[in-house]
Amino acid sequence: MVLLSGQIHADEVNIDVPFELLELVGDVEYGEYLASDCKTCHKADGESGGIPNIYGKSMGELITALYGYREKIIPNPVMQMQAGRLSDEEIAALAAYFEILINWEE
Amino acid sequence: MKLDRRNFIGTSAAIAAAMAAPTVMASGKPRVVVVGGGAGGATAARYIAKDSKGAIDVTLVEPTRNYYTCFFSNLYIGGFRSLDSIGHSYGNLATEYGINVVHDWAVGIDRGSKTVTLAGGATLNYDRLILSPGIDFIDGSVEGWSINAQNKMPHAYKAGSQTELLKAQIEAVPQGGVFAMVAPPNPYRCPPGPYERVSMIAHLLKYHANNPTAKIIVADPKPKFSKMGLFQEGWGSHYSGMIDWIGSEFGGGNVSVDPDAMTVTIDGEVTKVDACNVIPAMKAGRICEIAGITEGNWAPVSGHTMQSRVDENIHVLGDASAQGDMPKSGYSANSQAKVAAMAVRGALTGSKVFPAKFSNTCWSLVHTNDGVKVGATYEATDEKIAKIDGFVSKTGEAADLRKATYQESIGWYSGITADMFG
Repeated sequence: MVLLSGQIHADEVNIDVPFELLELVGDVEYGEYLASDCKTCHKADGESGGIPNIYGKSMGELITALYGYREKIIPNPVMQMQAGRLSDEEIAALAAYFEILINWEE
Repeated sequence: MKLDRRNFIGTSAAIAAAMAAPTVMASGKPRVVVVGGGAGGATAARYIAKDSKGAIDVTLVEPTRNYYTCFFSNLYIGGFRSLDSIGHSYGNLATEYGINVVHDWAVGIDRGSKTVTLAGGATLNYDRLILSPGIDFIDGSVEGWSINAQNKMPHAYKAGSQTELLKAQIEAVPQGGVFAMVAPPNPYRCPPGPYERVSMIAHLLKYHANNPTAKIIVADPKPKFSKMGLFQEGWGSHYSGMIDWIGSEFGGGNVSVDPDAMTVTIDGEVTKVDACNVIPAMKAGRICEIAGITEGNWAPVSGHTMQSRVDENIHVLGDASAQGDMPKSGYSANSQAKVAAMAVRGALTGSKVFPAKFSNTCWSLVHTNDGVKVGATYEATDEKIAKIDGFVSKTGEAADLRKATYQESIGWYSGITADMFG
């Protein structure tokens, strides 16, 4: 699995995302608002400097990464802080929004 | 704050109810005027235009055609960035987003008739006005300095020609000469900014100007500053013997300058300097005073919507606002702009409004590949924007982590400027 941190790959750490979180249906409109916070650093057209690309990632990848940061399994203080305030519903909303972006592009 | 869905729906419904009913226009689209094209204003204009999909008429008033970001301007001084790389035009906002970009100064605001007057004489009508003018300086805050002296002793706290001038003056410091900085009192734009600048000036002197025996004196009216331990660690390891920081406990606040004689007097001791950077005390950009929405030096706002506490038809973003716990930074202004854009769209078109969320991170460069950062998340309470959680880099971090932090800041610059200018 590809990860959102430049420092570690998710396949190097073991992230067991709770089934209930993976099952949640996210609110896309809320996800779009929440995603505006991501866009300060993550450019829409891909990777830049030390900030990885998050566009085109699958819902599962995004949920796993955000959960991994929130639970402080994956290092990086900025992302641990950003994900740290996200509820399960908000993680699902973000993942749903980014998934829809992929489908639009296709 | 963690919201479950039930809480979240309750909060957003309450906020939606608290906001004014959608404005019904007799004719034409609702109009938003944004004053100031920096991290707050450019972002707000872009998000309103983008997300309203043409339903709102957006005018952006910004005097400069080529905008230089204050963030990363220290890296230009240090030799890490070109000036061109921190300059941005408004072409995309006009062509891609349909924003009416007006290069002029806003000089008058009539809150009764909801109009903005420009220096060129034109008048703009608004349904909502967004003021994001950044900072101005408080006259007389540094004895002996005024804006008339800004060529002899630049502030370089609005980026562009001032930054170029300061860099050129530092490059001209003779071998073993003296550079002085007069640091500002709280609150001011970019809390770590003066200290990143000290680091970058030391870097410029030591590596680019071939002047490692030059001295840097910092007169500071504060007893401590942002990321102090991290900066002092870096100054000791990279620029040993070059930097003398004089805090308020040692008379750093008792300072006057003589730009004609090129002297700086700190706690009664007169020093001849070869270059001097005076960063005066700050206040909200003057247009906020003209609008009559300031209390003291800043414009108080509600954290829920960034609306002025004085006039609900005006939102104030970024450095000019008094909002609570967020530092005055480009990242903060960009974050606040998204909340304001959502609130303005909600008020003018009835679109959905979610609870305000904010964040900020300030990266600073101390030396080549030696980056540090501090950040926090925030939420809106009725009283203010309140801090939830935060972090700061640690002293003694490994070199590869510091390098990754610097790389991250380069990515952030690229991201935020794309978020501002499209």
